[in-house]
Amino acid sequence: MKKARVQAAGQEYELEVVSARDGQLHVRIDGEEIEVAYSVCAPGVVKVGGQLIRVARLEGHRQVATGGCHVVVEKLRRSASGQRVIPPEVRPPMPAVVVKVLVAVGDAVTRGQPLVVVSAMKMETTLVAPKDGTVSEIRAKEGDKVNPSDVLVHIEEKSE
Amino acid sequence: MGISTVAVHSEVDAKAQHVLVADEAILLGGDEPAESYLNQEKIIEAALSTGAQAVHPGYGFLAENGAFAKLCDQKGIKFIGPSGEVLEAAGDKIGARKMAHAAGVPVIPGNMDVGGDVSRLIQKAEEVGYPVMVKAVAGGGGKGMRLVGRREDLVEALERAQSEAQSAFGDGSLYIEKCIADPRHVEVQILADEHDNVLHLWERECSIQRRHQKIIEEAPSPAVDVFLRKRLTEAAVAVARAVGYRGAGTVEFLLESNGSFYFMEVNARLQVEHPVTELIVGLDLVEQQLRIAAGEKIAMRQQDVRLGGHAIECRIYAEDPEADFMPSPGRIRALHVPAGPGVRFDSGVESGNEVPVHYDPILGKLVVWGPDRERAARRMARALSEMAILGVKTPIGFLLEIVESEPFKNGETSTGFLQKHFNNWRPKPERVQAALLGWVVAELEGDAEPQPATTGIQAAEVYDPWASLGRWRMGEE
Repeated sequence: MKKARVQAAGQEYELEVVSARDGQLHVRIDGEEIEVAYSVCAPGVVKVGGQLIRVARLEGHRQVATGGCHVVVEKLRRSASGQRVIPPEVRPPMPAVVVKVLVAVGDAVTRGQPLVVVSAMKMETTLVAPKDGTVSEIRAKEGDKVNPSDVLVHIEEKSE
Repeated sequence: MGISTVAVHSEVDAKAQHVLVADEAILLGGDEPAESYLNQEKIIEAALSTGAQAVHPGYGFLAENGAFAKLCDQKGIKFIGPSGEVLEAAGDKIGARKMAHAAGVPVIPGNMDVGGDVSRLIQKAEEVGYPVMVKAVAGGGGKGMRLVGRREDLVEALERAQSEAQSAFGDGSLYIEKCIADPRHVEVQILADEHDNVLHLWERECSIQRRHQKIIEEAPSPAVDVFLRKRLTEAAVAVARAVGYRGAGTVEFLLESNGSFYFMEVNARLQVEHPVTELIVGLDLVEQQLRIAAGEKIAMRQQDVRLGGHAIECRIYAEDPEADFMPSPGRIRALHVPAGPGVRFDSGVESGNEVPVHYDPILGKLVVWGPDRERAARRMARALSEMAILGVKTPIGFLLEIVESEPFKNGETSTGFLQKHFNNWRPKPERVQAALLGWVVAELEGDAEPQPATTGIQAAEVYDPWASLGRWRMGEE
């Protein structure tokens, strides 16, 4: 790894490794130069700049814990134009049961508008439109058991 | 105490901690609560077949179900808690309000009788004035509860609360209460035996809540002085006496900044946050429950109950504090628990455990004691900063920044605390930077996958994240 663009705690960062040898790490985080000592203590446990850091590799990202702070660090991909890609599909964040579908095919929706209510872990959660557009497809009905891989609602983007 | 235990469980909980530590375990049925943890006949059958003399109902599910307590009684099994009649009186939130009112304890304006009809609820909301709280008659733990600020949101909120209450408690009845602006949640622990002794074990403050669910609790309350403590505890004892309470229970109050308080409800069971009381009084509350259930007299007088030091509890749930505390099920890859004097972690998980989607995702409770509030808070901050749970999201970092914050240190806790001070919270930038450096080292040094102490994760199972596109969470900015 030389350069990477990552997302962590709701923000994006540009990371660049300048050098890493003899236990010395030199990186740039959004242009800021940082030089620290580092070592690997055990599988999943590293020490950087005197701080003990625990890391686990999960699906699609790493989770890092240090000094009580837990951060999911995710490598980003971008569209050709460099724009962040907002997917048109609405999926449940976890295995859940559909409680109510609040929209119908053809409805115009605005970003943040409630679309589907799902229930998981005895909590009801409202899934909202990720962007402005029109509901082009609904693949959920009340009582369905759904998974994060299932698309519940498809939003067709408004033509500009 | 030398008592043998039998655990009951659902299919998904076959290897849950409570099953592993019990002497015997009985499978009740499927993962749906109705098939297992709410299945009264199955539980009775399990008790009878194993020769259990008593049933401890825990915190949730049937813990406050009067019909179940009566059924235990009929079958000759001791239900560890109040009688079925008392549970019905206390567990029915409306009945409890009437009863507290009759005992001379102030109650929050709202419905004083059950109104199943939606129009009556709407009318009551108009009468007490917005904002109002929608609450489930059979409720608890924030389930079926909604804060409604405007008339036009009431009907939708009633619908959601009704369906949530129906699925959580099997009873969708609701009532309306006036919303007290930014109160503190203060509750008094009660112990009552079968010989007419009713003791209180001081108060707890549980104001710091998200989704109407407590996440930080402490004892004593930083807002309660000796005079208020006397009034609060006397009111709690009056309520407990009025319902004929037996066992360990809690009387909850809302405390306004001007020192007025209102009876909210009786929690007719042991509460999740009971450890903070245990630490300041030096008693094991479960032991007290068992002794009372066995017909013993409480072995102390009110004046012998001590109040020593200060205790704080942080609830560690599998949830994402950066995404509205959305549950975060998954497999726990690494679990590092702090220790040391005055630090206790009551937990139900181990590294390698799967956090199921079916139940409340609490992983454990981190509880500390200190000689005073300041030292307890420092100890909690230290303990949280040493804690690491990887694999699921947890609010550990969030809790840490709360206990380190000035408003918390100043005891300015109220139910609006998180909204006021920690809305759209993100970890402090310097902490994120440290995490980024850790990520870089992990990336450079290759696979630094922690191996769970328990087996279960095979190398082949490890998915290569770099081969796939990172997915954005939706509806979030």
